[in-house]
Amino acid sequence: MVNSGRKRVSPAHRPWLLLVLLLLFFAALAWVYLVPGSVPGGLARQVDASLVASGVSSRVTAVLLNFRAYDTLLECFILLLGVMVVWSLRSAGTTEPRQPAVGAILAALERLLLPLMILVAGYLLWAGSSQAGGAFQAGAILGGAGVLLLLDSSPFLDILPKKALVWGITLAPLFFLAVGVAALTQGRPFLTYRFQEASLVIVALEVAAAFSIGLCLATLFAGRLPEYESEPAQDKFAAKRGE
Amino acid sequence: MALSPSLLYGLTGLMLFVIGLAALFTSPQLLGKILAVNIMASGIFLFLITLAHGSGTLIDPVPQAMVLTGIVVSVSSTAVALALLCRIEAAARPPAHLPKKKDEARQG
Repeated sequence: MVNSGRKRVSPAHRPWLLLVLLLLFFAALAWVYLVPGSVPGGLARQVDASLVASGVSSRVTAVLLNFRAYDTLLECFILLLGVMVVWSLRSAGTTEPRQPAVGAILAALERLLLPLMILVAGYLLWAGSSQAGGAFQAGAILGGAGVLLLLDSSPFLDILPKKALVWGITLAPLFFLAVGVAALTQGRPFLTYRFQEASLVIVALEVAAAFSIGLCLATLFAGRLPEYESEPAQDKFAAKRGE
Repeated sequence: MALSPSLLYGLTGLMLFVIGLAALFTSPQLLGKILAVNIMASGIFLFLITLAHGSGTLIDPVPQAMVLTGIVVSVSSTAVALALLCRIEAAARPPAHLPKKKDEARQG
């Protein structure tokens, strides 16, 4: 009897218990944030001091592609990993027919926006070395252009040759890795650049990263293997079953 | 301590994180949990950006770069989570040749 009574009461108290615990958690976080001196001063001074040696004049770009370039390297690999996981999860046979969202407004929007998006992406890429902008922003806009194309059920991922798609997606990680290893072979630490080459290498890395990020994002949005990949597989199974 | 805008942003970021955590614990649906994780990430991004501006005149570019990286990582992890969700839904769906049962256990 006692047991059953406890069972009946306990779930009713659970939301309140959770609320109290979460409020306590928030209070602890806020306390850590608000206590003076608990938040460290940051690395702004160090970044400013070595900005001249980085090869670019934008501080965020200098951090992303020089001081903490391994962050960006790993991030490129995470995107690649994401595409690989999505492709292996949504392989042949599991894809449903997409409902195309074709409409006059979407088509007009696409016609108007696509050239502009590519232009803006190029500008952001260029601006990244001296002001706000860079590979991520340009890649996000390129990805958005790809999403717009996919919404209009434009099969640009299916039309693209398989090799081009795979090389496009792996371009940034491989190039990044090559740059890092090249530094190792010349006796410098991993992912460091020579001062006179830094500018050029960073811009090249940014172009590759923007391209790959855009392609990866569009591929992730498509959420499936391109058609040419799934159809031969199905044919193979069908042939096997027939025999 | 005076209530400054940056303080408000920082506390809002922490609050978003806790709200996302609550939704992650309580949401019965997987899609809700994915959204909750995204809200938690947004809270962390807001908090990091606030920290970057908090120290005064000098703006720290390191947290900004970390947020830029984090956004892309969170997009790709969301895509992976959604692909997993689609796979789970497809596996939970009864095969087409069987008569359809009551859809009760499909919510989770």
